[in-house]
Amino acid sequence: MRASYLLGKLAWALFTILFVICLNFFLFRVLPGDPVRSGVRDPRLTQEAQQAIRERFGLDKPVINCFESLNPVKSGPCLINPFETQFFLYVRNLLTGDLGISYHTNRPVSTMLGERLWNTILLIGAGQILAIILGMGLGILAAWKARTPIDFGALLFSLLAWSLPTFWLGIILLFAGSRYFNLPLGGMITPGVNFPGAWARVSDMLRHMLLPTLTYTIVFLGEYMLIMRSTLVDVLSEDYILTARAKGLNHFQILKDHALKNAMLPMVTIIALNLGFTVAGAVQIETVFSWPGLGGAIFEAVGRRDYPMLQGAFLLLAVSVIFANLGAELLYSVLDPRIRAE
Amino acid sequence: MKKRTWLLIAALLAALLLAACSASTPQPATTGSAEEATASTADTGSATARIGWAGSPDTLNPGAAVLSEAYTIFDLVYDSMYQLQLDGTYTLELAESADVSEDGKVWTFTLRDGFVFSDGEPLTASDVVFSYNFYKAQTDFPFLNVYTEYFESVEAPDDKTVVLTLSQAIPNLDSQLIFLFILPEHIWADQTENAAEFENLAMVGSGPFKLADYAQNQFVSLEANKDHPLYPPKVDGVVFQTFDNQDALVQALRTGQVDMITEMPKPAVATLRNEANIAVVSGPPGSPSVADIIFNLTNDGTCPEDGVCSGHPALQDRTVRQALAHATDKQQIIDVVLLGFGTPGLTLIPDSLGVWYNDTIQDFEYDLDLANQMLDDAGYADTDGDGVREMPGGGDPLTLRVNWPSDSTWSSRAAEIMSGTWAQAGVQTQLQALDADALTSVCCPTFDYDVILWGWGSDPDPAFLLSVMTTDQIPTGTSESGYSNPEFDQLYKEQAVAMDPDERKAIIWQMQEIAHEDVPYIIPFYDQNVQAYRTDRFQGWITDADKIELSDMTSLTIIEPVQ
Amino acid sequence: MESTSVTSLGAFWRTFRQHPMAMIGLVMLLIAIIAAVCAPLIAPYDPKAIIRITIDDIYTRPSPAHWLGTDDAGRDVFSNFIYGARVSLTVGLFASIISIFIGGTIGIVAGFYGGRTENILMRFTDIMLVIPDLPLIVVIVALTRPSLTNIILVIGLLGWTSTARLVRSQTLSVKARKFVLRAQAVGASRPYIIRRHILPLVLPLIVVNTVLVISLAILNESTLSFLGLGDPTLLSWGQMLNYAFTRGAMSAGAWWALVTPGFGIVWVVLGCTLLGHGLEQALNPRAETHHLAQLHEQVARPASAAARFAGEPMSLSSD
Repeated sequence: MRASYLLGKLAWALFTILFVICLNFFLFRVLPGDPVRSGVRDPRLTQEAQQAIRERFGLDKPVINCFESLNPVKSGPCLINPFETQFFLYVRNLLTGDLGISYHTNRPVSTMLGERLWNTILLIGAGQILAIILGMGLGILAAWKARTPIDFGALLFSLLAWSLPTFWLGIILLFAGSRYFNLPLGGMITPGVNFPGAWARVSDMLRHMLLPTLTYTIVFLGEYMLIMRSTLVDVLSEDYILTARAKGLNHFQILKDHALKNAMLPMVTIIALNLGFTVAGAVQIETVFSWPGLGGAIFEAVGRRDYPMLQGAFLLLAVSVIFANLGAELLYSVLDPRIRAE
Repeated sequence: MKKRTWLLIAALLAALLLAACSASTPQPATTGSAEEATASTADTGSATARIGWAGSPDTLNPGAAVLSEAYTIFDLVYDSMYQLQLDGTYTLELAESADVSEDGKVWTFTLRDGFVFSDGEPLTASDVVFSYNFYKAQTDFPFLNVYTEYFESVEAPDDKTVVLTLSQAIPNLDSQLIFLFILPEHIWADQTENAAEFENLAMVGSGPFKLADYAQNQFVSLEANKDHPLYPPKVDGVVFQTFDNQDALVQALRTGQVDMITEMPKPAVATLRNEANIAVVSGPPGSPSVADIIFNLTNDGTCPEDGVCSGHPALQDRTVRQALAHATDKQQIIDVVLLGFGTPGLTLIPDSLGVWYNDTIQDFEYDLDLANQMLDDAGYADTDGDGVREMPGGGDPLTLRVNWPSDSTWSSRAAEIMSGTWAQAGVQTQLQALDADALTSVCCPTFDYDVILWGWGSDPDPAFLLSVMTTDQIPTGTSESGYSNPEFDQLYKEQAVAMDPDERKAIIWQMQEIAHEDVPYIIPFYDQNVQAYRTDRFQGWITDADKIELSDMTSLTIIEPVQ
Repeated sequence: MESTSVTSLGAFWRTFRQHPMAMIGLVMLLIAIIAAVCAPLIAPYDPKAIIRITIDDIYTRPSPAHWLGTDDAGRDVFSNFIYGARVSLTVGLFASIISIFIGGTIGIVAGFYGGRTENILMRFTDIMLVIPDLPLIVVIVALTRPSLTNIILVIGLLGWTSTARLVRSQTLSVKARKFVLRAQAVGASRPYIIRRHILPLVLPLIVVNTVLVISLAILNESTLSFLGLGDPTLLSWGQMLNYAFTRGAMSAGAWWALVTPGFGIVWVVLGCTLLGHGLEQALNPRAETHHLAQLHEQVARPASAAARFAGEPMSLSSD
């Protein structure tokens, strides 16, 4: 029972990944225009150079059997070796871990993603952890003191934090932080400086991280607070809480030992689901704070029509979200015995 | 939750808190506090000029690069045969002399002594020969092989001499050689296969600076090459830091986190001028660029094979285009879009092209009465009284589709202003911003538009921008207007072989007059570079040249720290 | 059924009024709507007037002539702000109608029909939930042309997944109720059951969700504009921010050009979330007190108000 449940989930995740791989390819091929020409506007880019660049990126090959290109739709020969088409080359390269070469930088997409990924994980990781801790803390406080001014204040604060447009909050914090605290205005490290030691380097990086992380935390903590509060209130009105009270346990013990554990279930799902939404937030925050992460790279790739980079980034994101969801579901099934019986 | 997890989280929180506290400790109000506060090593930072810019090089490979930011770095790290000065003239850099044969086809360069690559190998004539042949052979380099078009052979009779033989005499060899940076043969000889994908992270060059540290989209850190025979820098190094956000760029200069910024939003100028220790300078940019309002002029005769050529029939009439030029308030566009930091444009050849720019042309002045008069006389009357003129004989109304790239906010402001004044001349517009892909696909060589607001960037020689208006470029998509004038085409061919600079200039000036009179484009403005630097950090920036480019090699090699 | 729905509305209003947050949210939204509707009466300048200015008119400070200063084209920020409410609210309203319609339909059909239909629909929802929205938006914007309609479509078509999930779980719980089972046993047709029994019970949840989806749509519009994917000729709060951001309002010291539209967005979004939160509490008063609450001693667990107006005890899932 358990094994088949897990296998089913896994199979579904794999299917979704396959779907995303196909979608990823065709999505950018239905766009109008010529990526070689819309990226560069310079009369020095000759026809010959355009053709040579197209060949280098494999854009001279038909998109897929029977279709030369998808926008404008041009039919082509159907009886050609599928490995002479862009689609199969794309899939074959993917299987060997090759995400292609960026149109913009001529570098392997996997290398570029690798450089950027850790910066984003650092930022999102710190922001998420802070948002979860603060959000949950506020949520617990509000739920415990339900219908008191504390609850009301916490609720209002969370709703307000949730309502702030991310980039707007970012730019206001950027100006305030640089003006009043002389915090750095961008990047993740002060360039061209020989740091005397590792700590100086880390502390310089933390100074750069402070504002983007703060923005991230504020924008995301509201949601966690609301979920935590409403779940906890639900849990606390269950009868076993009354029993626990009758046993003479104090509030702290009840919260810690009985209520929180059950309230964690929805939190796990929301955190996993949120991973997909954090991307939009990361794009905005990294653009405002010049943070060299994945979001900034996506923003730039959108502007420069760097399709291999976009394809690679979105595949990476989709796969992370799929696995996060899978992980959440598995965790859920471990935490909540009811799922297993289903 | 396990205890360990909590500990970890607590540690993280503590670290962040610590950073916050260290950040809020008051800092000396002097310059560069951010850097000095964190790095206490002796003075390494003080003689390093920190430059903030909004871009970053796309690649360190000179062959594959497209962005002007990349060329700025190449210019500092590599040497080439000629150096473009800020007054628009070319001076010899690598060579101490250049001899030309009678027929203008054979150039003999004698190299200067003392050029050494940053890895210690001396630069010899064979490196030059290798580089020129390399650029010619690499067909998938986007730009550089166009400069080698007329190279027939390059030879090195000895270590100091380079003999370049051309297939035909050309008047602008100097401008062709400035971007052909000399690469070390001992490194690049192994990279001729798939050269466009070579990342060139070591960037071994012979220029006045050498690469010290680089992180893509973050910074380029350069160290001075004090032994450069021609331009030994006075500073210890230069750091270019990328800011994705222009407001942050301005703020970084104000707080002293950078010493110079290469660009800024124009509305910030007034605030920066009020700031102590900051100087703002403006002028034509070092690398020419031009904004244009394009008319679709294609017709049955000129429409390329796959073209749609749906341009409004009225645009075929030169009088209509001239009337629209009279109905375009360029000064208003300059005031709103550039806050005055620009000059009204004439043709595709901007003022930053120096001597090639024909400043004697009398522009169509902004005069709505005249515009209305011209359209009335030409028979475009508003017969149905809806405020919009119709084609002569009561045909289609003069309603023009106006497109521009949706990520360009200057274009949408310009389009708003333009559509307002055109409406007063009885010409209606439908404003529609388009995504860059969609714009490319309606533009050219499809020609499925009426009016587009766009622009070009180019190099210091006018030939490429002039080629945009030739008939030959209509099917290739480089011509965006479909303008076709045999006289102009003929002159284009003549200027390409006019060896005498004055003669070439006369032809090019005449071409501008023709293009101005025919109005395939309305050029709303020539943008100016607006840059700013901290006066309390470095001095000696070149601010009085014809062009303003503080990040140019000529400036960066002579600035020195303020005592 | 008709008569109960009238009394239920009255009962609902009485419950609703007791929630100060919901009332504040409602008032905030009403103010925004009134401003949008009466924009020509309130705004002192016409934001679409032809630009005829000098350089000195750009980013002028707030003054009696321009209460909130001027923007990068010398236009009155206050007038833009008032007119901008129209576009932002329109986008929010229509995009959320699309989202709710798709999400609601999928949720109800999946929840009610079950089996293979449910499987397919929910798998589809899962896939949509997993795909990052941004590439889809980039592609849709490039394929269509940036305009009010297309922006509404983009936001609406990508914003329905959470609604579908919520509505489905609510439908599942309603479906198991005795009177629905009874109706099925009697042989009532499925569309009839959905219309008469399921929809009325799912509707409150949909209403709450709509309010929240509106706020999300308005936030999304501003994000799209910020990323340069919107229509620059549209006068929305998002575009005002886009211009202020790309045209250096902050470094010019023109905080009013950036703060004003941002304030508008926060105002409406906060209004929506307050209202949504209040509605949820009004519909689900159980979530208002518990065994650790200080008030517990005085206020015994109230007989569910929702039970009074919906005719059946109900519970809203908390997520």
